[in-house]
Amino acid sequence: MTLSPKLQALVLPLVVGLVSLALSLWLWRHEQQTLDTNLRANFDFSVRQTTSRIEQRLAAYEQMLRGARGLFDASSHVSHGDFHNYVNALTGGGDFAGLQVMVFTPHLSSQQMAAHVAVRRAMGEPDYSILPAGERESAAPVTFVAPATPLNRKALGQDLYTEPVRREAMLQARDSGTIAITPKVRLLMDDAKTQPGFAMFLAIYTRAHPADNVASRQASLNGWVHVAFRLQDLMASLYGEGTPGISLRIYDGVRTDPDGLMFDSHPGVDNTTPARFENLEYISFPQHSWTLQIRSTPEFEQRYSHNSAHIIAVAGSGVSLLLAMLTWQLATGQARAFARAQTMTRELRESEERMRHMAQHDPLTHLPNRALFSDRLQAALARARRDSARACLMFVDLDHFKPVNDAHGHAVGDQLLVAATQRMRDCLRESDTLARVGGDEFVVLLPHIDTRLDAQLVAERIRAALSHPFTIEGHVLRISASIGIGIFPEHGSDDVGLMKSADHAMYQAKEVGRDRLVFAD
Amino acid sequence: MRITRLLQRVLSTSTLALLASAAVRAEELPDCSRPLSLALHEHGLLYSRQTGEGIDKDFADELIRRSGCTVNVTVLPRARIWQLIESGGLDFSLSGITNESRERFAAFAWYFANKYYLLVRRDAGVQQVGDFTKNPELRLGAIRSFRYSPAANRLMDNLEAEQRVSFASGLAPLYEILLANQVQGLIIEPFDYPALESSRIRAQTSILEFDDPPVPHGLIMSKRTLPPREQAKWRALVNGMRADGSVERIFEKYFKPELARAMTRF
Repeated sequence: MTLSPKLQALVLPLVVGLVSLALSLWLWRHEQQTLDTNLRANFDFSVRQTTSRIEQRLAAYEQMLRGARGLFDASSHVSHGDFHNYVNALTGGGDFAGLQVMVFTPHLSSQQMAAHVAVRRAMGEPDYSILPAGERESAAPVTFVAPATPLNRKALGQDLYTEPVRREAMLQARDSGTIAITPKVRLLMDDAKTQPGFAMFLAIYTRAHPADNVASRQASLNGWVHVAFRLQDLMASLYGEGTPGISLRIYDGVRTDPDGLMFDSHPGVDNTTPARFENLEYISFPQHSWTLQIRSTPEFEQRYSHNSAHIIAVAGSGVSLLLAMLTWQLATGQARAFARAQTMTRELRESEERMRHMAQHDPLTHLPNRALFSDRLQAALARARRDSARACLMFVDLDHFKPVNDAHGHAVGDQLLVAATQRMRDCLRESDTLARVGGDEFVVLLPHIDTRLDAQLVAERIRAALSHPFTIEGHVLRISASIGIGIFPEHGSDDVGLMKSADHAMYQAKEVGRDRLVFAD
Repeated sequence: MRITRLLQRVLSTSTLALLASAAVRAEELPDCSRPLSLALHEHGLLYSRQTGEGIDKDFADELIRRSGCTVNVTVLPRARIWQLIESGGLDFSLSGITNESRERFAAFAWYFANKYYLLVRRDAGVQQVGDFTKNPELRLGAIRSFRYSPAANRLMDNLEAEQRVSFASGLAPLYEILLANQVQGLIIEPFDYPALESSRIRAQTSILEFDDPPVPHGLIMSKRTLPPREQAKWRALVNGMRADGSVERIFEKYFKPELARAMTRF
């Protein structure tokens, strides 16, 4: 199967355009992948940063509790004032802005409870009592709170052992010697309307006993220090305005149930529509976990992406189109130049033809002029001489032409000449030559005749043809012809002689009355 | 006069002897002129806050005793430990494995080696490790910053590139999300065996072995705080513990003797 030249000329530009487009597409996709990878890396970094900051903040709380444990280890008697001063000194910095309260809770056996209440009352808290009241094997009443705001003081005397959730964390802290965190609980001083929070416990042991295994820890338990905080406050102190482009939810446990939701950086925002990036990250505490649901928001993509991929797509398409057009120009330039040259050559040749025709022909009748006729006459006579043959030359003069010209104008005269020419031509053969040599003078060359009669017959046909009236622009015009006939070689052995003879004969015809033939004898 | 001279000679001789013995000690034992820091991380048998016990704890106690240094021991998430080792905020940690990036900031003293395994839910339809990658529905749970043997690392990196890994700061939530079918696999080590004795986990999971040789684990030393000479001294201490069987005895407390031997004699 072969393609037409036009289609062939389109193949190369098309291929160049497509290759360039494919390259642009590849670049565009590569740029998009790079952007995607960068976005992913930024998101991963944000996830790690978020997780790490929360872990570090919790580690700071743990350190605070260890400091408090140190206070109890360092002194055999820690007063409420000591505790208060210690917590005040710690919370001087902004790092603990999320902290609601720090609490000391002694571990009391049933025998110690009454003495404990008596001491507290003697120390200036006359209303102090262990709540709820009643006999039990052991108790852990809130004894010191700091800061000692009226709200925090509401918790004084509450027996934390009576609350199963706190009790479990306290026992864990006791056995492990390290921190234990409660699931979501309502803080001691809070009412039902406030958000739930957490408590982080650390056990304190009697200084005299080693506490290097579970049994010894249980045996030497003195009490607990714990901090309580709300996630909302903790996160506010951690982030200020939050991490831009990142929405964070913190759930208690490893499930993202609404019941377990403890913190939401973007409350009220629909969480069911898929985010570009989403990660679940788990923070592990002893016997407890939190789930961080970290999602990118539309702001995240706006912040970290740029539209270089679009620029590549648009610029690549434009350059591909330009390249294709340029290739088309280059590929078809030769062919188009060749076609142009052919057109110009043809026009030049036609122009030359026209010039030659104009130089050799009469512009009105398009009959050969005197110069061309002379050439043909000479050639015909040379041939006749060589062949010992005969030729004939006639001079034809139109009679009464001038009066027509004068009466009806040149335009009508010219049309009459054209019509007369046509009638004469109709009387001749293809090989004969009719030429116009003057205003109303014509010559006829019959290059090959056998007898005078041949010439006479032709001359008579011409005379007869011209004697019929012509109708030009509504005018009926009558003319006739006076014809002088010269035969080669009788009436002239060369062109000049023959023409002179024939011309003379034509004048004779005029003189004897016009509309007739006269041989040059 | 003679007595004085004799006394001087005796004194100078004894001073030299004392100095010499101090020099020998300085060559053998690490520099204890400042308190050092070592971090444990909670991970199965390596360390449990709940019990306060574990292989790393025992190893740390013995190492610290032999060094004669004051070493503050803390418990931190593993990712935080690597950050601090890199920044020089922490001198030591334990049971670390190396890779190219860690080599830049940490030095190691190997004392045991173990293989890695893929713990996978039975209902995930995974017969061999390769099946896990093929099913795009399956997710892996992992501890942030943990690295494993080469094949396990490849699995982990491929899945992470496809956003199919959930990270946690410790092992406990990973078992929970495995049981909740939020992830379908975990990469585990022999220290995680006690958790597998839980009937719920054993009933729902199976174990696949990665086709890698055992990976050496060791004492992690921060290159930022410990110059090469100090690293060599600590490495000598660790090698001493291996040579006299202390390391194997520690491992025998937690593993069957055959496994303890296989892990410590590598």
